[in-house]
Amino acid sequence: MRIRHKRTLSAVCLLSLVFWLCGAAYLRHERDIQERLQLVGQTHAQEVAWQAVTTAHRTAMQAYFDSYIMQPDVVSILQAAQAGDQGRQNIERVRLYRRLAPVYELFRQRDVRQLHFHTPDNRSFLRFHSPHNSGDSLVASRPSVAEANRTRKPIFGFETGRVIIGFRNVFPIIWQGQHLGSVELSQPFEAVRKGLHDLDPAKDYLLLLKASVLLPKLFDEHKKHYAPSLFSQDWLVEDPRRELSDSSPPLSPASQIIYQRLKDDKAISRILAAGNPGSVAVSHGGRVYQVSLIPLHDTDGVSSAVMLTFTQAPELEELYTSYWINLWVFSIMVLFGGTALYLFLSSMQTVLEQEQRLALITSNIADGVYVMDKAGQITFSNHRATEILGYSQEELNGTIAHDLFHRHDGGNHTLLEDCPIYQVIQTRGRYEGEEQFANKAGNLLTVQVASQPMLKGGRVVGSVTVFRDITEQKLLEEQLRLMSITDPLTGVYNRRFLQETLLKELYRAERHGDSFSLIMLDLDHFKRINDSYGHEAGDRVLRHVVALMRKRIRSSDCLARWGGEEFMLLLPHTELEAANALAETLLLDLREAEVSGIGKVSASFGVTAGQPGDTVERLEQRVDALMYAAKQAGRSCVRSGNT
Amino acid sequence: MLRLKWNNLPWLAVVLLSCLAATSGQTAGRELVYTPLPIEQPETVITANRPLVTYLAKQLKTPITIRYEKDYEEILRLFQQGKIDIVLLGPLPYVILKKSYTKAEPVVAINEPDGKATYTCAMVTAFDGPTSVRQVRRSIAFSQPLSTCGHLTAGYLLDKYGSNLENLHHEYLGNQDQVALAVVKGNYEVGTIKAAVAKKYSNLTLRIIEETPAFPGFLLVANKATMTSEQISKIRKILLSTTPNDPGGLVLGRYGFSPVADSSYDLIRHNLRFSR
Repeated sequence: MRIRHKRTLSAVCLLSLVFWLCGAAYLRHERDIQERLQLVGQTHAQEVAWQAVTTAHRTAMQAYFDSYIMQPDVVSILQAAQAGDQGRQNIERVRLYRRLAPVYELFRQRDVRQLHFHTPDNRSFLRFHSPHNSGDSLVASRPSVAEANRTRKPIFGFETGRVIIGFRNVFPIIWQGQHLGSVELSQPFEAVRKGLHDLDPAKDYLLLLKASVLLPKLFDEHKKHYAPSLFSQDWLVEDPRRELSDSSPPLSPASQIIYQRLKDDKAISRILAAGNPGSVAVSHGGRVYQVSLIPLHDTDGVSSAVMLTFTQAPELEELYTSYWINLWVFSIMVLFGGTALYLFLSSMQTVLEQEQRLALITSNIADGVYVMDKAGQITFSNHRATEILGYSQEELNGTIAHDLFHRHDGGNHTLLEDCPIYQVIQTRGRYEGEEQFANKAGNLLTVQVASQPMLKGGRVVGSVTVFRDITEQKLLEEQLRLMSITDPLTGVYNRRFLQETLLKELYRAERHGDSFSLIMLDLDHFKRINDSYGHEAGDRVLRHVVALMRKRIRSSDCLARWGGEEFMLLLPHTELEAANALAETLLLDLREAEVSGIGKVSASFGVTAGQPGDTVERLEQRVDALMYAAKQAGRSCVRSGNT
Repeated sequence: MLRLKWNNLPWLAVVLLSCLAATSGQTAGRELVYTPLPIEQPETVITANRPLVTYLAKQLKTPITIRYEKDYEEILRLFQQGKIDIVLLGPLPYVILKKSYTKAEPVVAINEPDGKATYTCAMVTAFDGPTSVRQVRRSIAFSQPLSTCGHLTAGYLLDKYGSNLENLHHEYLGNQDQVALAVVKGNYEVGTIKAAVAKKYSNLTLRIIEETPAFPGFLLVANKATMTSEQISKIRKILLSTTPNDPGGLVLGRYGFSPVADSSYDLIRHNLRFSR
C-alpha cells in the first residue's frame, strides 16, 4: 500500500509540475503580450511626440524664413551674386554675411545651428557656422539641397551633412519667379530634444548616427566630434565629451546605467539592424525602464540615425509585479491543489482498497450480504447472496429487497412498513432473527438474518443485512428431534417423550381440570414369539400391533413404546370409560388380526385416568399395576380403574 | 653605533622602493601635458594638434594629454609653474618666455607649407576696407596681446608707414579666426593675423594690405624643470627625423620640422618695443 501511495504521490507531483509549467508558461505568455503592447504603445507615443515637436519646429523655421530671409535687401544681394562673377559673388557673400550676422546670432539663441545659403546649382554660398568654407558642391552630401533646388519646394527632415547633423529645413528662394538658390535653417538634435524634454521632463534622449552614412560626408576636422556608441562601431554618438556648446546634456545616471546595460542587448541590436521603431524593457535597481528606438531617415529615405528614449515605465513595473504575484498565487494554488488531489486520490484509493477488501471478504464468506439505502433499495450484494437467492447482482441492485424476496407467514407479502426488519432499522436498532426469503425459483428459504442500520449524522441512511440459509439445518434439527422422541423400530414415540407429554398433560389437567386417560398394554407371550420365530418376527409383530393401534387413535393421542413389548397410550380429554372402551376395541382388533407366518397375537391392557394429585410415577405405577392385573387375570383382557 | 636588525629589513626595502618610484615619476614614464597656442577656433586648434600629440606619445611610450588654454599669458604662467611640459608657441611668446624662464628649452620649429620654419603676419581688410596701411584711420583688431601677429605686427607695420597704433581703436578678440571674421563683418577697419590664416578667408574678400618680413616659425618648447634632457632630446630627434612624406596623419607638422636657432628670434627681440 505504501508503494502504491508513493506512486500516487509521484504521479500527483508530476501532474502538478506539468500543470504548473503550463500555467507559468501561460502567465509568462500573457505578461509578454501585455509587455509587447505596452512597448508598442510607448513606441507609438514616442513617434507621435517626435512628429509633434519636429512639426512645431518646422513651423517655426518656416516663420523665420518668411520673416528674416525673404526680405528685399537680402534677395537683392542674392540676385547680385547670381548675376556677378566670382569676385562679385565674394563681395555679395560678405554683404550677406554682414546683413544676416545679427540674425544668425539670434537664430543660435533659438537653437538654429546652421544658416546656410546655396546657389541654384547646389553649391555652398555661405555657411554662417563656417563662413570660410564655401563653393563646394553639395550634390553628393546634401540631397535635400539638390531636391529643394530641383523641385523648388521646401524640404524638411533629418539629415547628416559635412559639418553638422541635424534637422534640415531647406527653403528654395524664389523671388518674383526667379530661382536664387536655397537656404537652410537647421537645428541640432539638441533643439528637438529640448522640445521633447519640455513635453516630458522625465525622459532622456540619445542620438545614434550610422557611421557608414555619416563619416563619408563629414569634413575631416569635424570627425573628431563623433565616437562609437556602446552598441557597435557602426553607430556613433555625437560629441561624447560634450565639447560643443550645443551638445545635449549627458544622460541621467540611471539612463547612463541602462545605456551601459544595453551594450550587449540582442533585442536592441535586432531593432537597430531592422531599422524599424521599437522598444525594449530593462530592469535595474528594482525599477523598470523602457528604451524606445525611433529611426530617423534622411530626406532621401536612407536610415541614418536612431533616437533612443530612456524613460521609467511604472506600467511595466506594475505588470511585472502583477505577473510575479500571479505566479506566486498560482504556485501556491498548484501546491494546495496538488496536495488536495493527493489526499483525495489517497482517500479514494483507501476507499477503493477497502471496498476491494470488503468485496473480497464478502465474496468469500458463507453468508449473503446486501446493503440497502434509506428507501430499502439494494445498493450492494455479495456473491453468496446471489447464490442463495438465485438473482444476479444486476437483478438485485436497485430493487427493494422486501418486495423482491422477503416473505411472511408461509410465503405471503406484506407492506414494507410492516416488515419487522425495516421497523427495527428505522428505529436505529439491530435486528436479528429467522425470516423467510423466497429465491428466484419461488422456493421458500429459512434464513438467519442480522441487520444493522447505517447512520450518518445520527440519521439512518441505509442498512447492512447479513443472512444465512438455514433451511437444511432446520430440517436436520427436526429430524434429530423426531429421532430423539421416536422409537426407531415402530415409529411411535419413545418412553421419554411420553413421560414429558404425560407431565405436561398432568399440568394441563391440573390447571384446566381436563380429563385424560392412560392405557398400557403388554403383548402376551412375546418371548415365545421371539424364541420361536426370531427377533425379526418379534419386530414384525410389534410393528403390526402399532399399525393396528394407529388405526384407532386420534392425532392428539400419544402412542409410545414403553419398553420391549410394552406400549403406553396417552389419551387427552378422555374419561376412563372411553379409554376402557378403546382398550377393549384394541384387544378385539388384536384377536381378529393375524400376523403372517406367526398367527394371531394378544395383549394385556391396563387402563386408568388421571386423578387430582397424580404424578407421572404414580400414574405409571397404577396403570402398570392394572396391566399386571390383566396379566394375572389370564392375559388378553383389560383391567381398568383409578386406584 | 647603529645596529641593523634583520627583522627591520622588509620595512627598509619598502621605504627604498617607494622613494625610487617617486623619483622616477618625476622624470620618466609620467604623463606629459601638452598645450597648443590658441590662434584659431578651439576645435580647429585641437584638430590640428591631436595627431602630433598622439604621434609623440606613441614614439615616447608615454601618455600625453592636451590642455587647452585660451589665454597666452596664462599658458606662459602655467608653463613656468611646471604644469605644462611641452608648449607650442609663436615667436613672440617664446621670446618673452625665454627672457624670464631659463628652463624653457626650444625643441623644434614647425615648418610652414613652403617647407621653411618661417611665416609672415599680415594686416588684412575686407573688400571695402583701406587699400594701404596709410589709409588706416579708425580701428584694428588683434587676437591676443602676446600674439606675434597681434600688437607686435600692427606696431611694426604702422610704424613702417609712419602711423601710430595708439591713435587707433584696437581690441583683442581671442583668436585669429575671430579677428578675420570681425574684419569681414566690417566691425574693424583692419586686423593683423597670420598670412596663412588670412588666405583661408579669401572667399570672404579678406585681403592683405601689408605683410611682415619672415618671422621665425612656431616652435615646440619643452620644460626642463619637468622633463629630462633625454626626453627632450628624444622628442627633438623623433620630430627632426620626420619628413613631409611620413604617413603619420599629422596636421600640425605635416610640412616637417626644423632645428631651432635661438638667434633667429633676434628679429622679434629687436622689435619687442612694438609689443604690448
